[in-house]
Amino acid sequence: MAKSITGIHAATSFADRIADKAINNVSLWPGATIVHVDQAVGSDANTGGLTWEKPYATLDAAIDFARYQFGTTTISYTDKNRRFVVLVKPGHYNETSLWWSGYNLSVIGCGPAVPGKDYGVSINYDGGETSTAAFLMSGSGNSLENVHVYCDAAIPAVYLYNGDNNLIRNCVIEADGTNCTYGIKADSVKGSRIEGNVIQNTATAGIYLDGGADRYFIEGWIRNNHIHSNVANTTGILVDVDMLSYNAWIDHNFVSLTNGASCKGIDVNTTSLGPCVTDNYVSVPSSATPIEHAGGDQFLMGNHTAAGTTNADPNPAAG
Amino acid sequence: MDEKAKKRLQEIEEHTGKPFEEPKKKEEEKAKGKKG
Repeated sequence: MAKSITGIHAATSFADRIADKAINNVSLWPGATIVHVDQAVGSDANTGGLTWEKPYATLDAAIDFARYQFGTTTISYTDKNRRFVVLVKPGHYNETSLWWSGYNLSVIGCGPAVPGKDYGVSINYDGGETSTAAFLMSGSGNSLENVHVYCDAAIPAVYLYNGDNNLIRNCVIEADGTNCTYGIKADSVKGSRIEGNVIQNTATAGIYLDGGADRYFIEGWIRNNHIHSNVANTTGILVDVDMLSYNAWIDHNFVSLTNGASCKGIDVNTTSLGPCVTDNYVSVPSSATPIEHAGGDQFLMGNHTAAGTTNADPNPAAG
Repeated sequence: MDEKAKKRLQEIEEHTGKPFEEPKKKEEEKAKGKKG
């Protein structure tokens, strides 16, 4: 049986560093089953990845184990009474097809509190992924935290595909400034949170909530993300017209776009009851649109906007 | 797309109960729709 996180504060020096992460709000809970990954010394023959002495070598194998029905190698899509945490040691994880679906599974980088391409866990470091996404998670109760993700293909770097109650937190997402479409693309943000991420140089949008049938942005938020791009006429945060939204927030984000009069800092196209766009700082080039909300100005509160040298504080945005 | 990638997408389809929509293909279709 894999070991539990219980008692982690009394553990070894590396575990002490993990305890520091708990202070940084990374998702570690007593009782979770921990699976270890270390690309430098691990082996995928280390069934269970139970300790740092016998870790898996790949995220792929660790994520599979964390989804198996107990005692089998069959992936369970029904067992929600579980909690797995995949801890990943710093290094370059050049794996492709990191696409998975499951329940209550956290993938957490154990590098520094601020992930960097060479200073923590870097996923798709060499840009080998060319289709679908550099990292895709589906299902519910999952999280991706404290990792760096690189993407240089015409795909999203991170794809939150369906599901609810998911979390993407404290990640650094680096696009190549030419091809990578979205830093985070999400099809459903029902009870989900995208917070504290740094997203750089995406071609189409930093964060994109893609609408459609049965797509929701409810009971969740996009909060405290830093999004910067110098790609021409891109968007910082984009919410699709078909995304049903209420009780949802886009707040305290920093959006800086530097190239093109068709840039949009925050662009909400849904006309449902939200989301509320509050307390964001948005900077775009002259003549570009800092914030636009199809639901109307009543959803805009306390934002600071700058379009070229025209500053407005707070909240004079196009409705 | 190699066998592992196909398997991964198949798993997602099994879990979600619907065909997986490739982001690139879907966006191309959206763009076509807008032009039309």
